[in-house]
Amino acid sequence: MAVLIGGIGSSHAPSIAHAYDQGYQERDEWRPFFDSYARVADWLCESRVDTVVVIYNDHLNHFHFNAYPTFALGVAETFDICDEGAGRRDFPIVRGHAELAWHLAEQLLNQEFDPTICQEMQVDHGVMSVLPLLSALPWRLRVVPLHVNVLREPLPLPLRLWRLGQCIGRAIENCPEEARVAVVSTGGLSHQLQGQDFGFTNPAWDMRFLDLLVGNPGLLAQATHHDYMARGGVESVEMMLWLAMRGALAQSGRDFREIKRFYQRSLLTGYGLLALELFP
Amino acid sequence: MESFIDHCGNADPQSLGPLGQLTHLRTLTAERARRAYRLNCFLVSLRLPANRLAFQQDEHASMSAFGLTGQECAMVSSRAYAKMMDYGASPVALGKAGVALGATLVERGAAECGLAPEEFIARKKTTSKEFQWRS
Repeated sequence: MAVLIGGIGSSHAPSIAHAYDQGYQERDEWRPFFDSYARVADWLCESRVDTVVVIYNDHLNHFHFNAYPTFALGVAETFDICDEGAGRRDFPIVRGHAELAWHLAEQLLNQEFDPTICQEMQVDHGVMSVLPLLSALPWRLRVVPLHVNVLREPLPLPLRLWRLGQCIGRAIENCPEEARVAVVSTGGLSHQLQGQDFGFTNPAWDMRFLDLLVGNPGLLAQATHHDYMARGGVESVEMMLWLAMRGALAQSGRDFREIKRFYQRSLLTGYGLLALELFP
Repeated sequence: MESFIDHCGNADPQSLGPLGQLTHLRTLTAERARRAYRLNCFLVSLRLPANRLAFQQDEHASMSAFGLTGQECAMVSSRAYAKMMDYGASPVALGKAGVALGATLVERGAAECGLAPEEFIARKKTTSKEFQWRS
């Protein structure tokens, strides 16, 4: 049987990918950031997590506005990496977990979630700015990617993300396949990349968000898109994706502990990281 | 089982905390998505080297191939980022077009703020100093 081990929330950003590729791990301004992810990567190893279900948003790389799905689940054996405009990053093809993914597909539909089922799918920095920080190469972790629309109206509600996470958690826990799984949500934190507030960040809100995600996620789940945008900037609405991770843990009924929490405001966004481990 | 209602003791949006100090929110709307569909498709196409080359060789022909209107072509030709955003351009789509349009993300942001890129970066670094690493 599959086992749900815990969850991770993480920012995703091209700047993270750039820093990784340029070898900035030892630079003073980046070391605390990368050290935090190293701690989480160690925890994933220690707890023998071998698979991550990654909830993220595609940035018009695999999906386009001609047919942009609200939810899309990758069920392939492997996933190639998108060329986002600067060339394909030099990583091996990502390993999928097709058995778990097909089980998730069936279970989600049975629980009245209807993702587009993708037998081919490329992943972008929504997955790939984080995965190399969590998984040794050649890829130790297998990935089941699940895209959510946060770019074009109408967006799914935050409450919908919470419920999606609950369904994902249940599906993992009744999966007959052998897997030790963590649910990873990526996105945010505060940022706005338009208008006179270009580069806006709100560390106070970001840290409040992390507190609420741990202690009162229902409040975040009941918030509106405008509630998020008015505090973190328009593009920060993707913070609601973290609710899927938290919902997956909540449905288990088990208590959890924080493995790592990290926050740093950078030039154009707030970088956040939160790793939670469920007690057996 | 930890139920959803357990987390809903205080559902007042005020308890989320104060609003950010934003001057204007361009919220996502279906109207903007409909109006800017062609423009967004065109901007995204510029992530491919062949399309970037075609645009550099003949901007107007490149835009016409996507059926852009005169208004849309004018906004792209003049690099009128704020106007494109008001019209409905996706910031993600504009990001794809950055190389072709000759502006990095920071340069576009600085332009939208009415600042030189160096000044924009300096201001951001200054405001970031008050928050140290937290882990």
